[in-house]
Amino acid sequence: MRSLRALIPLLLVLAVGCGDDGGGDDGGGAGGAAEPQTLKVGVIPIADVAPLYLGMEQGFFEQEGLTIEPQLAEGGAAIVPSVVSGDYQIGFSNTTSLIIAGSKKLPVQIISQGVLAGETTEEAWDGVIVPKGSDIRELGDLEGRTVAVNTLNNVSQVVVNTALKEAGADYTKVKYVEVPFPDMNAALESGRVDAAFQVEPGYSGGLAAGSENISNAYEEMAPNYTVATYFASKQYIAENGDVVERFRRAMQQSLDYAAQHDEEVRAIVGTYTEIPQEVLDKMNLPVWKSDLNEPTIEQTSAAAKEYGFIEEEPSLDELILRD
Amino acid sequence: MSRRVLGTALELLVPLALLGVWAAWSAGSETYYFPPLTDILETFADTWLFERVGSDVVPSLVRLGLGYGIACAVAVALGLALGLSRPLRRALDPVVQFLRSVPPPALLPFGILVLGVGTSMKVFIIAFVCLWPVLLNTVDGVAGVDPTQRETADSFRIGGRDRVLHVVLPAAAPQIFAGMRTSLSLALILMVISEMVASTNGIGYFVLQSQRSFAIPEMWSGILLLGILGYLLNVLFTIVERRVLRWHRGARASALG
Amino acid sequence: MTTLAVRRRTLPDAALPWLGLFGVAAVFELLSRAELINSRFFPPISAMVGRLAEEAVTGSFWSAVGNTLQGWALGLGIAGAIAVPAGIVIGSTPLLYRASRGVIEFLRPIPSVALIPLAVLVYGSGLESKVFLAAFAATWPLLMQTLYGVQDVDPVATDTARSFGFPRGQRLLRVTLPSAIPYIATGVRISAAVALILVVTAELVIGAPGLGREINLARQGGNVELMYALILATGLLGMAVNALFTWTERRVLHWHPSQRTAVAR
Repeated sequence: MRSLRALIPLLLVLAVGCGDDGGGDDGGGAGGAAEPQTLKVGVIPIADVAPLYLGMEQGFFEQEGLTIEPQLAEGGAAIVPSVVSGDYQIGFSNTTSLIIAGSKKLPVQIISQGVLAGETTEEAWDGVIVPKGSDIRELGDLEGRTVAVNTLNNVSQVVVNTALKEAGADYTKVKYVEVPFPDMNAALESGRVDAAFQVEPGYSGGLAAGSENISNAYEEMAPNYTVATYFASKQYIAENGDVVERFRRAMQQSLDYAAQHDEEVRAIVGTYTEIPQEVLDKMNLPVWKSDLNEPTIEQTSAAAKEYGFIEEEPSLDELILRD
Repeated sequence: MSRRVLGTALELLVPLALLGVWAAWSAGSETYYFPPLTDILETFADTWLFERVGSDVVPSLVRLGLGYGIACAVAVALGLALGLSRPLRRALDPVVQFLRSVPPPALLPFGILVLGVGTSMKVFIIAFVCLWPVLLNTVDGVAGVDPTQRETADSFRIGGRDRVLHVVLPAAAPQIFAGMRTSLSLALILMVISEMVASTNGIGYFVLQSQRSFAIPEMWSGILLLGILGYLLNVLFTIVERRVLRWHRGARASALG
Repeated sequence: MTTLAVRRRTLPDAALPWLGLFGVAAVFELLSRAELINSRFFPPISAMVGRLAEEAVTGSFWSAVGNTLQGWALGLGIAGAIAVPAGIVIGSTPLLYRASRGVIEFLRPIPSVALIPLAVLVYGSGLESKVFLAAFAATWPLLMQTLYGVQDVDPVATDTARSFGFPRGQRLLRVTLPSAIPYIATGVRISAAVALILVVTAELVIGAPGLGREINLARQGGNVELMYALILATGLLGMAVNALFTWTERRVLHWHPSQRTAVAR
């Protein structure tokens, strides 16, 4: 009898001990226990952001406990202030704009790959095009002529200037004019500009109307040149590192998925843009990979400095969120 | 007399006081998009005095002047016709109401298509939008001419051109000028919008490019310049208006003095 | 002695607005069909109208219209609440006018478009931003018109009132205000139009939900027909707004000369 009573405290201790172990698995465990989070992501209504929408459709973000609310903006100019102010948590912007922001010490950081150029010119979805019957045959002929770009002092000039340099031409002799992508073909075909640096869907549209391509500038810059990326404010990353990680994982899955499923991409782009379906079916799709391809970002930074778009290069360690 | 002095003093001091408040409030500012006023003023001096005057201010003002001038000329002529002719007014009213409701950025594609990427496109955009306030005010002014005046003109058998020049226009003048004044501030806004696209110089172009390249003190300095220009243009306008409407002011002796 | 002619709505008279509308539309239709303007980038009016008809049966179109009208109403309301009282007070007090003139003349010409990133920073990219921009832009025409109206009062009338011993408040209410109302009415009409344009512009540039954003989406997608169909819709909306204010103006001001139909001559 006495031995049984002696066991009771032991049993109690064991019971409590077991209970503790059972309830103690809330420390940094499986993703399933993560808090659901809603993220406002600033994007532009172009094919480049299809992976985001595909990822939403396929549930990649849901698996990480994230609900994505895409915010359609007109351009990077509207997205960056919104991210900096905290109105959006994440944004999509071309790398050159982010480099310029970084060089001005704006607290933004690249968190994920967004869209890349083709590995070779076969996969090109961009090009410097000239109208039918133009006397311009190659890059060197552009000296002294007018070239339309979507945004001045930005990625278009970075790649076109570099292409001109490689071709032995003087890029300072080219007159750049800013014309939005949707208006570029009109300006080109009515002879208002001599050449235009277009991307899809205007690129195919232009070619279909008889314009000719003289340089796939993105692809000539570097294979799989990183054109645009997703970014967040440093403050948000510092306060929500876990959420950002989950976004990165889901985004990587989405990018890989998009790269494998052309048809689904063509279908989904029609849901958040007004690009007509016939155009979507025929255009060259952008390229997606999950690798950031950092050397091309370095390249862009150096080029931006060379062409005078920034005064000093930003520190890439500061600009890019490393693992 | 001393009231006048007090008035002038107030006019100069109040804005200065507000600037002082702004300077004090923003002095230690860390927020990226709201730099200290002192930074902005420094950038202003570097940029606009007088480096960029020739390259940006002059082209902008030339386009503004052309667009505004064309708008006023066309609007007064058209407004006169519409104000005097009720059938014409009724016929064109829907068209006028429709065209003036088109948001200016929506005109850009059409402008580029028809006029290209140069000065004429920008002048067109400015003129097109500035047209409407002047037109509407002219129509209102002309149609609202005091019936007594009209009947007097009738009984004196003043017709056609004389009537327009010496009865209708003078009577409608105050309202026409009210419209022109509204259009003047619109013109400045339109100047900026027209330089949003296909531009290589101009104040609006500078502000937008600064915005894009995150050069925030420069952006603010441009906004400041736009405000100053607007003020100066208005002062100019008031001087002209005062001369032209001298007789009317005398009759009405408004509080402006 | 002139006879009072009762103006009946004769058939030709009622047809005039339609004639004007169709006339101008026909000109543009021809310009496009004859390829005087490239029809790939500027479709014929009939194509635009057809596309609009297609859009008009979709729910998303009307929710965009609703969003635009919501921003417009708020912006105009705020502008009116600020501009009219301020205009009356400032316009009737010379010293106050001189004091505030510098500020008004300086703030007024600041283009709302230049304020967009600041608006976005402070208010985000939704309703509040576009209401702020619309209210900012719409305040000035209304303020200026109110100022003009208050200052343009016939001095004989105010002097008469003063000599009859009317206190300042009464003079304001019974002499100045009625004289200023036509100016204010025109101001409200202009401001209503300005507010609508700014709301759509803000939607276009910021991406706040509404007609402007739909126009931009169509534009960026290269869907030219849809873009112009939506621009048409914006124009029609403006026409509706103007018709509303003109009708109201006519009701409110039926005693003013400009509204009276001319005695037959």
